[in-house]
Amino acid sequence: MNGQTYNKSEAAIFKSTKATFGGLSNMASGYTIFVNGVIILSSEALYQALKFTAYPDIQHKIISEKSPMTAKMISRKHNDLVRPDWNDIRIDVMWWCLKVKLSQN
Amino acid sequence: MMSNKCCWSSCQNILQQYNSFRGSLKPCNREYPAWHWQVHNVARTQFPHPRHIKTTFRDLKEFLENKSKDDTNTLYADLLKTAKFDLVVYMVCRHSWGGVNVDFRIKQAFGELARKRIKYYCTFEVENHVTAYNQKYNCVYPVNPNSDLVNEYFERIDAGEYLKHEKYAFRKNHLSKQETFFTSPANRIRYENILLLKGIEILNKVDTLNVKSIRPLGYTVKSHKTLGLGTQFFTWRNIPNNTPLVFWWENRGWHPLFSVKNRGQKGSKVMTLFDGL
Repeated sequence: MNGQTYNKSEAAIFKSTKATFGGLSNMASGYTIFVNGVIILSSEALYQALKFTAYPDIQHKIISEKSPMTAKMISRKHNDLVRPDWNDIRIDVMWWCLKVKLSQN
Repeated sequence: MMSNKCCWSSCQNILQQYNSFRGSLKPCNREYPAWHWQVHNVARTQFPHPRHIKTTFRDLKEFLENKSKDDTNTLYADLLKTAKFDLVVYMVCRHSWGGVNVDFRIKQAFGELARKRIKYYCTFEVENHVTAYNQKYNCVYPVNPNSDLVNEYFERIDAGEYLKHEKYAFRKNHLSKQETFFTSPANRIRYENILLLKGIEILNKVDTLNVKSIRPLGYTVKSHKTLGLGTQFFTWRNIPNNTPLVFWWENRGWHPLFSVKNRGQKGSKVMTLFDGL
């Protein structure tokens, strides 16, 4: 199986959003993102909202949530409406969300 | 149209939301304030004011970059981040698109902690954010009438080398989702076209237009290739320059509803229709 090996001494490891490197977590608050003229409070909210590109009302509910956790919970309620190609694109979407977060914070 | 009384009543309502406040503006803006208030007439305009308020962002930036006058000599921005005081910005009228941009620019300039601690209130909000969800567009934001006059004017707009938002110049037919500002979608289109066409006629009579940010539907950011903010909001003491030109531009035979000194024609009378209200 193809995979990638990470050297622990060269990796920024995080478990808790409050601990060292915790800000790298999608669940970390305080790293707002500005995309397409809209302020989004976390990369998690952005990632979850991108599951529902055909449903702007669901996207609005997700990005209106104050915390990344509640944004994720809103998303889970609408799992049946996730875009059909999500599994094919989600890695690329996550990569993009993280790049946006890094570039703006 | 907003009266003086309505404006201050709105201010007082906001003050009462803060329990530690006792209904007076006196504790504000002292040397080491527990509160700092900024009051703006209309966000995103620059018309004259006795205190020479500039734009919301510039005022906030200027304030936050100052040092407090107490012994610590600390930047107000740093005091704000550490919750030493609250910053409340009250705008009589706020544009949703501009408001989000100010919010983001504050974050870029001073960080997320400072951004979170600024509270914005307004009495009237113009929902004109073209990429936000379910905006009312309670302003003049026309669909493309496919008129030669409009197309020719639009091509001539000089928004400079950093022009943007061209694709947002005209409203999409399906927006707003539900018409609540005008009596019907058809009446909206009729009203908007009248103001747009007349505004272009007014501008076409100007020999040399030196101000790049002026458009038929009022002022906008000069790099925006759009037709103007089209604000439909007026106060007892002034008319914002981001309302359509037909309301305030006096020149070459056009007599607006609100003639304002030094707009369009030098020496225009200031009409104080609402003195004493």
